[in-house]
Amino acid sequence: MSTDVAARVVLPPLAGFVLVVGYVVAESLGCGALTVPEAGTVSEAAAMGRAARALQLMAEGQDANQPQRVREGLLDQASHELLPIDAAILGRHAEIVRLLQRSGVVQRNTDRTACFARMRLPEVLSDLGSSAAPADKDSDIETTIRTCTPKEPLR
Amino acid sequence: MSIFLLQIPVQLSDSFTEFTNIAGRSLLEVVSAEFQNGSYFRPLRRGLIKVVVDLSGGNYHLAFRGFQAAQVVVLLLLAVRMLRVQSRAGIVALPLALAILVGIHTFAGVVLEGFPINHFLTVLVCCAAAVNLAQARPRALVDAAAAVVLVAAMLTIESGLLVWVLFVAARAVGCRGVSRHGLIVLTACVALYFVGRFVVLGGSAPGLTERSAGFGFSALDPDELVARFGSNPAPFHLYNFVSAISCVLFAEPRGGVWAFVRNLTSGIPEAWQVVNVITSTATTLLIGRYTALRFSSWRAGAFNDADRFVVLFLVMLPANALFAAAYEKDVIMSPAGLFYAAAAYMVVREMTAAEASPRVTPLIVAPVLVLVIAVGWTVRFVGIHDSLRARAMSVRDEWAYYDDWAREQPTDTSLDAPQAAIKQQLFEDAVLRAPRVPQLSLGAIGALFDRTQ
Repeated sequence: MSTDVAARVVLPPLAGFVLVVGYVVAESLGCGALTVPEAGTVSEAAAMGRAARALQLMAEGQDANQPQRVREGLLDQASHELLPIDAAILGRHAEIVRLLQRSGVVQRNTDRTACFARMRLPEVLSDLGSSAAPADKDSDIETTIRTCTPKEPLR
Repeated sequence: MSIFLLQIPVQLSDSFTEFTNIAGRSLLEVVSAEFQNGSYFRPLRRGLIKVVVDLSGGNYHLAFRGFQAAQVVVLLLLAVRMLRVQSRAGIVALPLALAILVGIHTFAGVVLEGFPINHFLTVLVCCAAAVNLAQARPRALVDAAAAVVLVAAMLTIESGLLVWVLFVAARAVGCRGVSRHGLIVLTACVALYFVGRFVVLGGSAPGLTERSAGFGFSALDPDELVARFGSNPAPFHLYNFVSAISCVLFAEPRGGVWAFVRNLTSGIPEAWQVVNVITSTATTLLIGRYTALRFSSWRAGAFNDADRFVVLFLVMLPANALFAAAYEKDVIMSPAGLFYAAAAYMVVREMTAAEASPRVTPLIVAPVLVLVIAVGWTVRFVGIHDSLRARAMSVRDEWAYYDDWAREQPTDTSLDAPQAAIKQQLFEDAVLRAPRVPQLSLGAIGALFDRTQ
């Protein structure tokens, strides 16, 4: 048997097996390479569209009516303190907005939430009880937060 | 693969209603009800679900995914055993054969779906067991085991009848494990199946209104299918038959939809489509070339070990495609996919053996083609694990939206107390207690993996 032909046949699949096994071993040892970071707050789960993780964190005691941290890289390059419902809107996950509402989340900052929805996710405006019209054009996260967040009065 | 499987909770779609259907009923009631199920005849499938539920002690996730993982392990063991890896060339070809077996798109549905017991996987196990029996030394015990395997397969799902095709084809090419008398008994079982199902029980084949189906470049819903083929469904059935064969040989169409051709004619196909189509086509060419070389020997009735598996594949392919005539779905073709992998193993084994032996008919293949095949199947093998991980995430989220799912069901989904307890258990398994498996992020490499399966 030609070693060259045998190598072409056997090496790629063997490399594939080693890759999968190595990945499983590395993961079991806590190595998180090649993975999306797991949501640590309900807001992060909402921003990522991870419904089950959001419910899991709420069941573990996190308060979905309080602002929570969303790490940089999940919504955009900055970190944010956001209500879960706002994070879901900014992440454009309408189904999570409705899930949070069904799970007892109360809208605390109605104007800001509606403003987010106008600019990022108009389809949930009716779910939020807002009659505001959708924004004329699509906005990125940074612009949306800047536009919808009341400015501190100058001293 | 089993580790990836165990990370997937019991799914909501196509599974939860199975639990509610059998709740509070005895095994006899569950099985006997399946004898009056019209277009489908799968009494053992639901009976097996009932048995696993009863044995699970309420630990449904571990019981059902564990059962699925065990079936995969058994399938791989039986598949390796039937290939009879004895030579150095065989050892060289084996990893590629396993990569094809697990990486082929027809296999994806048997691991990505749990209904909650994947009956397509059960039939695959029966097919591999059938070949092992056919290869065995002829004994009465083998005949009896063959009958048990056949009955189990055909009462699990319709395509289980392929096990009979296997026994007949295996004997025709010289595998004499099942005796002539045994084969007569098996044939009588099949005859009894048809008489029982279609004459005694008055069952029928699935019609056009059962589900959506792919046709041409898109999927048609049942109303569109009836409007187009209601008066004469024969062309649609023929289309499905041809599509199913092409699906195995060329990885196109998928589910009856010619998506690669559509993308090729209207723009650029996805990277994974290119990988799938090129890999499958190249492997098919290899098998085709071997067939052309050996055909004259076959006509003379001379079959070596490799020939037997190539012939089994060539018999199983159209036989399996008949079961996809009502609607084409990749997973229906999983038995043909299993024998595609076996045929590829034999051809690659012969190819590498021929390099060393001048007595063997040379199967000369361009080295680059060999490399394309090996690398392509490796990508597909790794890709199925990526799909399994994505499935674990999507099933968890599926349960989070239980209320939405219940609202969208065409039938009443209100639950009595035992059913509500099962729902709560499955919900907690999936959402609150599920193993925390991270989502893979592979960047540009991810484009090579088929995430549509």
